[in-house]
Amino acid sequence: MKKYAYNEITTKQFIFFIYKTQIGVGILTMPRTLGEAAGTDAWISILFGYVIALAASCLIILIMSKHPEDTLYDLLPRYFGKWIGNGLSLIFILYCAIAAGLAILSSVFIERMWIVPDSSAFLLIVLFMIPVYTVTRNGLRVLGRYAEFVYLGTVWMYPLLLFSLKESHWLNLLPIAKDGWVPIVSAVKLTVLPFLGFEMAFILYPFLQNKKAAYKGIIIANSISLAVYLLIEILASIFFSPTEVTEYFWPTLILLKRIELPFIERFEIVFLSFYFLVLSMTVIPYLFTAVFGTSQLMGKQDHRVHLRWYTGIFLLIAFFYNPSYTSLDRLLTAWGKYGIFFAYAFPVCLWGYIAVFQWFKRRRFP
Amino acid sequence: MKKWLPAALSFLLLLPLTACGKQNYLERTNIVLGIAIDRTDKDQLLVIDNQVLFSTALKEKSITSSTKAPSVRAARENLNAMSRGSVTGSKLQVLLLGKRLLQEKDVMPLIDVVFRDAKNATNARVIAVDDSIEEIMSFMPRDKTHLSVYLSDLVDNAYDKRSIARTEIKQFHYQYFEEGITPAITQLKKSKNEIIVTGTALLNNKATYIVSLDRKESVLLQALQENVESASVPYTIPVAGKGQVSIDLRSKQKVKTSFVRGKFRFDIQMKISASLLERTFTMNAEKQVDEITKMVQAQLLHDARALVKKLQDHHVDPVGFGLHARAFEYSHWKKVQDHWPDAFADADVHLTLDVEMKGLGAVK
Amino acid sequence: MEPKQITDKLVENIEHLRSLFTHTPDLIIHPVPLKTGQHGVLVYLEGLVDKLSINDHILHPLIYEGNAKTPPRNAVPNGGKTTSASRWSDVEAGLFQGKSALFLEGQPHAVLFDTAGWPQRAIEEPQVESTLKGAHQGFTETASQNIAMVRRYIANRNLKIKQLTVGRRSQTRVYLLYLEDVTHPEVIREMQGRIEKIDIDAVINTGELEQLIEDNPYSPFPQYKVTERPDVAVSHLLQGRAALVVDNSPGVLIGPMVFVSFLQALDDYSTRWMVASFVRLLRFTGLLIGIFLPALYIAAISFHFEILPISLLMSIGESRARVPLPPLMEALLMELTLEMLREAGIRLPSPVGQTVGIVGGIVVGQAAVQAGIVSNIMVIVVSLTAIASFILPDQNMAASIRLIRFPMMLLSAWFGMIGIVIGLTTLVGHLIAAETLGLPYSSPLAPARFGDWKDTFIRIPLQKMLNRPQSAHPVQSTRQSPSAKNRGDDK
Repeated sequence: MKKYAYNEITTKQFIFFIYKTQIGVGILTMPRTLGEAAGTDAWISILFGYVIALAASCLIILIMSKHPEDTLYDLLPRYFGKWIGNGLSLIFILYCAIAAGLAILSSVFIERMWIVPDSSAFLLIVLFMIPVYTVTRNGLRVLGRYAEFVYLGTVWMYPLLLFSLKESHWLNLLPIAKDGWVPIVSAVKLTVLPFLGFEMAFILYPFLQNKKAAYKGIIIANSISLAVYLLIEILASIFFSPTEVTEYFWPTLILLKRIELPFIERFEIVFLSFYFLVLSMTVIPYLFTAVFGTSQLMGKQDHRVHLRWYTGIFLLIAFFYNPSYTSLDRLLTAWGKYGIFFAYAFPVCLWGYIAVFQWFKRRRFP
Repeated sequence: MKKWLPAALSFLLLLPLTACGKQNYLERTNIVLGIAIDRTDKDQLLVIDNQVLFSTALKEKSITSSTKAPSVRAARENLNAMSRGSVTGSKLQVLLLGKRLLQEKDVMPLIDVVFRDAKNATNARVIAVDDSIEEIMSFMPRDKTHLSVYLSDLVDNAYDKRSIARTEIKQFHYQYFEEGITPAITQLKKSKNEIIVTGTALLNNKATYIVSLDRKESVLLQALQENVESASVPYTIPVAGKGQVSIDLRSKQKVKTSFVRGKFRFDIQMKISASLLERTFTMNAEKQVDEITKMVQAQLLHDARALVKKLQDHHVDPVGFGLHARAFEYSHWKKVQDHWPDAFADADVHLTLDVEMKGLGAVK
Repeated sequence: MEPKQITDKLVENIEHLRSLFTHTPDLIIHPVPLKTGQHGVLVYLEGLVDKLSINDHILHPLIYEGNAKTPPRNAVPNGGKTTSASRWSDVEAGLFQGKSALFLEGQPHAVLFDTAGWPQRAIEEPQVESTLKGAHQGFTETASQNIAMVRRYIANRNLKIKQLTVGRRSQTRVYLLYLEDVTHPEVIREMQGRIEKIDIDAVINTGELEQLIEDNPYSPFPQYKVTERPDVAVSHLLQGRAALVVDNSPGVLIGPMVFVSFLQALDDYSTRWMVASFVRLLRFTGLLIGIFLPALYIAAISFHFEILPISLLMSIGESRARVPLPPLMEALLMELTLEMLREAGIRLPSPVGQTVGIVGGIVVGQAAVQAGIVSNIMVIVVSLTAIASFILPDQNMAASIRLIRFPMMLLSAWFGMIGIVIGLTTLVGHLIAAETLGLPYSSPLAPARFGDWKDTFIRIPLQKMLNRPQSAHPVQSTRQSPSAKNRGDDK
């Protein structure tokens, strides 16, 4: 009963899918938020965050491997019964839909702020939805290919950050753990957020061609994200002074502003435009997960009808609601809290529930 | 899908009719290349800006206008009212600050506008002007290049020889917010028919002018900042009674930081490799190489020590010893963090210097 | 009532023939008194047959040689196939294929001799696909000859040919060529199925057939390659693709193609690998320039001029200051002029075509700048774009690229750089979702097949290319034995 056989994805696609979902808007503000919490030692916090994210990811794979043909939406009713299970699915769907919406809103906000300040936010959102719709209306197989493309098409962007090394102050990193371990540990809660995205494994797992490679894949995906975050955090730490970094809303873009080539200056404009590719790969997975979820709940094979509904509703909301920076920031923080619940607490609870559930079952039918 | 494709397409075609992206065409934009700020007697700001003029009819390519206003942004509004197109600072090349302004005010809040607008450039050179900014801004380069481009080229060229500090706006921001370093910016003045770079202006942590370094001191400052590793920099050493020796130097250094008897202590070991450029008296360079080396070494050490003393006397730390203090003596640094330049003034700086003659040139 | 079967009465047969082919002056019914005394007629369509071979190999032996005991089918003209038909529909089809039918008194069937010989072009080098090092012969309008040309390259019985017919009226013969042990059977099944599903009056050439069997008619990109070169067709056959030879058309259709293979030329394999790799990279650059350069220019001068270094900014600004049109209009004006010039150049006879070039180059280019209607930089941008799109080896792909340029320009004029990236993303979204014959069009980029990359952006030395590219899903992937790999390293 391989109901998802047609849409299988390769291990490579699995890796890039998760990795690209993880990298999003957060990377642009990360040096500031972490700098406020842990100063120049924030890179240690990122390592801790990575370990926690890795544990949660592996737990998800562990849960999913019990029923290799099930997505989360099939799994929940199996354990919780139809009503509670579908209710839980609905909450997860809501979380993903809101994530997709917020990702688009914040992308548009940043792109407007930095590149096209004079254009209307609503029109930009409409424009953004065109490629997002074009990609999302296809099956997961095509989404996997899109993830690969986004990876290959944006891999040149990170080495460019090294240009900022010409103004580096390596001494900033010393001494390690200068204010003790308290700020470092307290910053860990901020560093688990950028790793959000591995919860996609809840949906991806049954589509995976080679299920044995699932652990390897999710570890590699988290590790690539770790490498990118470490690169940016360390570059920012040695480029800015510890107090200065908190002065900028988007320190990563300031790093890019320093890139000057003989034929092009102000690289952040080009970078941020192309960063849309990366941002779209945050929006699309969440949107797909939500759309796929409601289609499954209603027992529809073709998710495109639902996608159209989502797009329509979303554009309607965007037409009437145009958030300011502060309200957007508040929304993102709130979303981060739910993210922590869904990506970290939820797998733990689910795993515990399943363990108890099976124990009871075994007792009843020895 | 096919049914609503025409609808989507017609919607797309309608997009341009609405006010979507507002273009700002290059040729209709007034691009500000240089801003000069000083203060007037009546506690107002004098702001002069220098814009590009894209026109084939006029011979002049730039236009300079000045206004008086309480803030830079207000001045921008005044200047906007004078110009034909929208004004943008996204290609700012130079930011000139009058000495009077620097002596009396913290300039950082004044140039806040430059950082707040994300579209603005961050690579404009920050320059202190010795006398009136009006004179500088009315200067007309002989080859008719834009004044601001001319100024930035002037600064870049002088920086190639490390005879000034070159500080871009972003770096100025860094130096201002970093506790362990004080800002140092280029200094210029107008003399007769030329604009010349005079050296480096040192500011304190509140971006207020303290003291100036001449071009020779600036070279040593750059050497202490480890900025002379890859550039070869000319330096002239007077020889008593005979004339002078010019050398080309590269320098490397090691700094050891410690905290002894309630004071910071920096042991700086400079390694300088030099090559002979000129001597204005007769001697056999090949045979007397040790003698020259010793002479050079003595003079360099003397100058460098004098520079460090000058910095300590004036309570400024443009070298960034504070970074070393923070990296290696964090617990002690923590106590003086907010008034580091004063702590630096107290510190023991031990400077040793080692010169190696690498080349003597093509003749004996 | 129409008789379907041939009778054994010669007169009835002739009468029926006459009623079938009314108003057909080129139908020749030639009475043949056999040496054996039998009566017969030879029927053929004048112009479709080779009269000399009819004379020498059919008429002569029948009239002067032979005896009653040897059946006339042994008189085989010029080695072609001889069949017998007892149904009128077969006879009719045979006559239209250039066969001649022999009816004999007392025999309820006709003997069909393959005497096809119609006016045909000599084998020439194709005009639109020239090559430096490849073979200088191209396909002609005769399918059998084209198949022969392919056979000469692949002397292997695994080269299979399926004969299909398309067009109710035209009865165009279409041959599906593939290597049985290389090509994926699903590809053949799919392609054959699509051809058999076509129910159309007539198909005139390959380009029409191509559109009838493609996956997505709304895609701007070609999904099959049409080539006039046998060596190109063969190289694709060897990569596990199928070739479709269409009678009456010199174009041979090849599929399933992937996007990047439109940027590869056969010369890449016959030149040295470094040169070939350089040219490949040049083509990818050309592709990007061809799509994006005018759009980038528009975006740069109407939204983001701060990305230009100051000196470049000054010179562009000065040249723009004279121009009264907004950048988009300026660009559209020049691009459309260029497209018109190009189109004019194709259809005009070559002596006039040169005049078009002169008019375009000097009058439009120089005069427009001097008159201040367009800027110098714009002329440079447009010519660069034109050159870039000319280096693409496939005409169909180059045409698509030229077309995509226009929406990109519009997007960039409305939204600047973001518009361009949105356009790029939409394009990519389309490309990765596209499939031809069930195989992903964007392979080997996405799905990433890094093994194929050694023959994508660059071309590594032939010794290292051991396997066939995976993009067409070949069943047999080895193309070179590994022992050959070390040959170059031997001292």
